[in-house]
Order: sequence, then structure tokens, then C-alpha cells
Amino acid sequence: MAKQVRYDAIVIGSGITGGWAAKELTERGLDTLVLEAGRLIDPATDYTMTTQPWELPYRGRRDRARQARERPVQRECYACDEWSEQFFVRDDLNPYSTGEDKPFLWIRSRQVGGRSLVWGRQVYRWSDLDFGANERDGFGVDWPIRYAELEPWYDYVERFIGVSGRAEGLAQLPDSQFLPPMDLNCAEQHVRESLQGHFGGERLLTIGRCAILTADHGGRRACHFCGTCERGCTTHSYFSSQAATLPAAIATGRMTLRPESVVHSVIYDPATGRASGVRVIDAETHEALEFFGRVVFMCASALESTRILLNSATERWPDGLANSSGQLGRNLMDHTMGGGADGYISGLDDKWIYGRRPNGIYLPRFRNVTDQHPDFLRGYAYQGGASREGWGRGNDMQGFGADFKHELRSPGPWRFRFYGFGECLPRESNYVALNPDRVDAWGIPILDIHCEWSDNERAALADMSVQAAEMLEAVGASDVQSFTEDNPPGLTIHEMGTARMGRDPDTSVLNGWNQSWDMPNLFLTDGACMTSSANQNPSLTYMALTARAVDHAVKLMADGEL
Amino acid sequence: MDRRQLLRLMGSSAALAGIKPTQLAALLAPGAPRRPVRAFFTAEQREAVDTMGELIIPATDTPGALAAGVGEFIELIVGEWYEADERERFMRGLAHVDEHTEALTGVRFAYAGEVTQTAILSGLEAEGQALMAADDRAPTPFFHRFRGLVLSGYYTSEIGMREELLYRPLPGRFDGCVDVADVTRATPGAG
Repeated sequence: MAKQVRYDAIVIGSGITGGWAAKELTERGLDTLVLEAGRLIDPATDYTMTTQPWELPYRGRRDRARQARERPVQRECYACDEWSEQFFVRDDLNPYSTGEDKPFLWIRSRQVGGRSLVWGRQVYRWSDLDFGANERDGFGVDWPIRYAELEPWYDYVERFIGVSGRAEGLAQLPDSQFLPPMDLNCAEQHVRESLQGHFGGERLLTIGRCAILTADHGGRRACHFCGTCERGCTTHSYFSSQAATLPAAIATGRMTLRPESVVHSVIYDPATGRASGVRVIDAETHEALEFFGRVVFMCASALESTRILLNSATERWPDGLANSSGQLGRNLMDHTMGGGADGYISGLDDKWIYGRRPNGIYLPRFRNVTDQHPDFLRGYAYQGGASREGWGRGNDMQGFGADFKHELRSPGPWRFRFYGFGECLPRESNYVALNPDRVDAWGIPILDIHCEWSDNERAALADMSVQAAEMLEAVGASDVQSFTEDNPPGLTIHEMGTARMGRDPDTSVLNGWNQSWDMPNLFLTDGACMTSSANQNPSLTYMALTARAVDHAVKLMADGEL
Repeated sequence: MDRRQLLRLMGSSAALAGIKPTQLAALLAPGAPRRPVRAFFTAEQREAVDTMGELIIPATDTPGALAAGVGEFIELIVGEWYEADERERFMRGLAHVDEHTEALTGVRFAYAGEVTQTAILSGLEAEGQALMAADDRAPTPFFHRFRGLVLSGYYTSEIGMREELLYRPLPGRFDGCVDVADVTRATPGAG
């Protein structure tokens, strides 16, 4: 007999969107159950911020043999290293399949805080260039919202999480509510000024906008610039749900957080036509449990939320819950990455930096902003930055001995890198479905992922490489080398789009409030809701959409509609 | 361990006479890795590794590779971390160093004297460079592979990071433009 408990709201997931849903729902007075598939995290023992390289057996090289057995997919992520691999899932317990010749890297976390513990922390607003993109060129369906509707929610989220950055007044990349910007370093400042001379305002290099505090904020401490956020931050200086939203929810006294709770499916009540709760498998005991609530918020990450809905099929919903449109699982997107160039910057050998800045530069989209490039739709932006080479350059030097050692004592030349991230078109042929033949460690059918880049993504990636090299040449860099990496989708870890928002219930899963067209008390606010991908890092938009969706749900509940 | 503790351990100062200066330096060093590494090298192999490591990053005004425990790090990587083919290639390269030195001088590398040792390493480096120049997809030659291990072992050790470089675990602030003279040899980045 399954246990019966009823809450005002159930949130599935405790990551970047689940944390926001938990905070907003509880602060608005709702008794909220937050279900997290993974374990509790104890910053005192799980964070490795103060662990130094010499304290690790392999000095940061990772236990290769064990990673090959346990995390052959997760290890492809830079952050799944000897300090932080505990923040990524075991692939042997969490398998998935892919289409033949369609590699997809699904990088995942299961723990309280989810991927917000190890995210890249870059936050950029979208503009109407992005929200209007599908309507303009006809790929995907039109977004049901525009920038004006999300703007106050961007403001709201940014004031809470704390975003450092510099206001630049760009139409295609609206400014955030900023804390003081981090410094550009000398070489980056040189490139910024030189680009202004060559390209006018069209190509603007600015400091990365990131959810890292440059001043004490909301009870959290300013960054101490140790430089490796993904090890966990004991001063809570970068935003995570562990650091900020979950503590806010706890403070209300209305959150019940249940870790080790693997959601199997959403329960559909045919009598009301609504979602009545969720089925859970206890991660440790494998006991089957049921929890009930007035509203359900899906915040388990794009592909996990999609998988749960697909696995919630009933007689009424044979193709997956809330899937009358047939779009659930379709239109999977990720950002391309890795078109770019490197070059050396001279003339600044007497200058250096102090501290390790966990942030780089940003060069916002300049393609297809006012005119149309002949080779591709949409756009891309660059991250990257400048640093002086360290001891690693000894591998390419000649010699050994005292002189060799003393040369490596000084910083090497300044090296600058532009590294591009590009938009991905929504296409129905990129999809996920349940694999009927395999289950994970908890008996839940695994996902079968079919995703590949189109010519449009490849053409933009090629242009990133060419433009990066041209800019470095223009600013006087030497030994400029361009590159075009061949990264499979998934590795950018911006997977999204498989339960898209739209204006029409026949062609979209969610309405303009992240609410299921098919059952009004079911909301989905993680990356699955995205109608297009833009080229900006998406988490800020997920958070703003989540806060906005909760506001709408609470109003509907107050009005008696839910 | 300080000299007095070492003497107590060895029982008498006479016992110290049997210890090579390089070994003494290692024993006296602060911050040598505490984690015991399962022995993989023979004593002779480890002696060659330690001697080559100290030639590549010698003690100068700061401690060198031996004091930083680089030999132990290399033993761990080769014995536990390398895959079979990498290990085999490394061990072949290491054996060649002693064989080559013995053929030239009649003694193993560790006992050849610094001038000879330096000449032999320089010769190996030049051979390796020629190999890489001839075929850029050839496996990394032994000298270059070995030197890479010494570099990563040294500059990720506490000595390498905190005494040779001026690593600050918690810098407290970020300044994007300072004069090199003001920070002498601080290394903000890890590599």
C-alpha cells in the first residue's frame, strides 16, 4: 500500500529551476514538497574548495580507470574532475541510448542543488531578436511571449541571485541588474579598445556577466577569487540553489525536501482531468511511494522532465502525459561550441593579474542582428579571454635544469582566445523517446536520444572560427591559429526544447505561462520549455520563467481556478 | 622531518654516511607527500627516476624535484594511472637510459656524475626532438614524456606551488592589471 500525503505544491527537482520554484511557492504561502532524485549535500564534507592539488592522489589528473567504468560520459565535462566528480551521476546506474551515428553527451547531476552546484554561472538576458526568431524565419513555432513580458522577472531574479557585469546598452543583449563588474585584464582591455577602433560599436568585448558576487549580497559573501567554483563554494559567493533559493525556502518553514526520491511518473486523475501527484521510487530502499498535490512543477532538467512525462502515459495519454500535441520529446536543441581562434598579444610583458577570476570575456552576437548572413540563420557569441602562459609551456620549451626552472618562474606570453557558442534551430527530427528495452537502476525506462547538428549550425560554427581569427589579426595578435571543434550535441550542457511553449495547443506542450495546455495544474519550467535556443547561456531565462510561472499559478490558485 | 628526527630514526650519524645527498634532501624536505605509494619501481629504477627528475628541476634557491616528491608521483602515475601500453613504453625508455649510460661509462645513470648525466639527457632530448620533427604523430619520446611528468609533479606539489611559485589559495580579490615587478613570481593560474 503506497503512502498518501497531500501538499499544496510538488516540485520535481532541486536544481536551478526547482530551487526557484521552491522559494517562490513557499514564500507565497504554499506547503511545498520538493523531490530530489539524489542525495543531500553537506558543504562541510562534499565541497572541495580548499582541497589543494597536492592533497589529491592524482593531482587533478583524475582516476582514469574508475572514471572509465563509472562515468564514461560525465568525464567529458571539464568540471567532472578529481575534485568534483561526486557532483555528476554514475553513468553505469543512469544509462541512456542514442541513435546510430548520433552521439549525444548527456551530462547530469543528481543531488540537492542539482547542476546549479557545477554550472558555468554565465547569465545573459535574451532580447526580442531571440523571442521573435522563430516567427521571422519559420523554424519551430512562435514564442508565446516577448521580452517586455519577461523583463520584470529578469529584474526580480537578478536582484536575488546577484549578477556582476557591465552595462553596455546593447539592444540584442539587454543589461541586467548589475553588481560591480569584474576587471578585464590588461590584454582583454587592449583587445576591447582595439576592436572598437576596427569595428566601431558592432563588435564589443565586455566582461562576462556572471552569477558571482563582487560585493556582499543577500547574506552571501563576495567572491574571494580562488577560481574554481565547481568545487563548491563555502562562502556561497556564486549562485546555486544550495546557496540561496533552498535556504530561502527553508526559512519559510513550508518546504518539505525529500532527497533520494526518484520520480517515476506523474499521476493522472481521469475524474478531474488533472495531475494529482507523483509516483516516487525511494533511491535507497526502492520502495514505491505516492505524493499528492494541487499543482505540480516539473523542474527536473529538460530531458528528465520529458522522460517522466513520457513515462506517465495512460490509456487517455498513450504518447505521454500532456502530449496531445505530439511535440513532447521533439525539438531537442543544445548550443554548438568550439569555433574560435587563439593568438599572442605582445607589448604587455610587464603587466599581470592578481587573483584567479572565475569568469571570462563576452563578445555578444553581431551576426544577423541588422542584416542577414548568406550562409546561416541566427547567431553566435564568443566567450574566452586572455591569460599569461604558466609552467605548462615548459613542455614545449627546450632544455632542463636551473635556467629552465628559473624561466618557468616568470609568467609566459599573453595568449588570447575567442571561443564561440552558437544557436541551434528547433527541428522535430531531433527527439527523445523511451527506450522500450532498457531500464535504469531504479527500473525506469531509459531515454533514447536522437540528435544531430544541421548544416545551419555547422555553417555558423565555421564562421565563428573565421571571424575569431580575423578579429585577432585586426587587433595585432601574432601566431593566430583558428580552430573548429567537432563537439557532439549535449556537451555544451544547454539541452532544451523537448516540451516547448507556444501559442497553439496543437503544436506546443505548454502555453505562455509554462502551463500544460492539457492539464492546467501541471507546470514545466526547466529547459524543456524552450521554444528556441538563442545563443546565450540559458539558465537566467529558465529562472525568470520559473518565477513568472509560479506567480501565475499562485494567482490561479487564489482565484479558485486551480 | 628535521635532521635531528632523522638522526634518531637512523640510530646514529654514521648511518647518514650511507645516504646519498639527494636522498637526504628528500627526507629532510617539508611537505613531501604523506600518502604511501605502493612500490612499483625497483630501487635502481627509482634511483634513475629521482636523479633525472632532480636534473630537470634541480634545487636552486628553492627546493627541486626530489624535495617535492616528484619521484613518488611518477611512480604512482606509471604504476597505477598509466594504461598498459603507456607503462610499457615508459619502462622501455627508462631501461634504455641505464643501458645507454652503462654502455658509455660502465655505471648506471644515477652514478654517472652530473656532467655525464646532463650530456646523456641532452642527447635524449635531441633524439626525441628529431623524432617529433620527422613525424608529428609519433608517440611522445621518452625524454619529453618524462620531463612532462616532472613538470606536473613538481608544479602541483606544495613545494612547487608555494615555494617556487607564490600560489595563494584564497587571493581575496582580483586585479586585472598589475606590474609584474609587484608580484615577482606569483602564479595566478594553475598551469
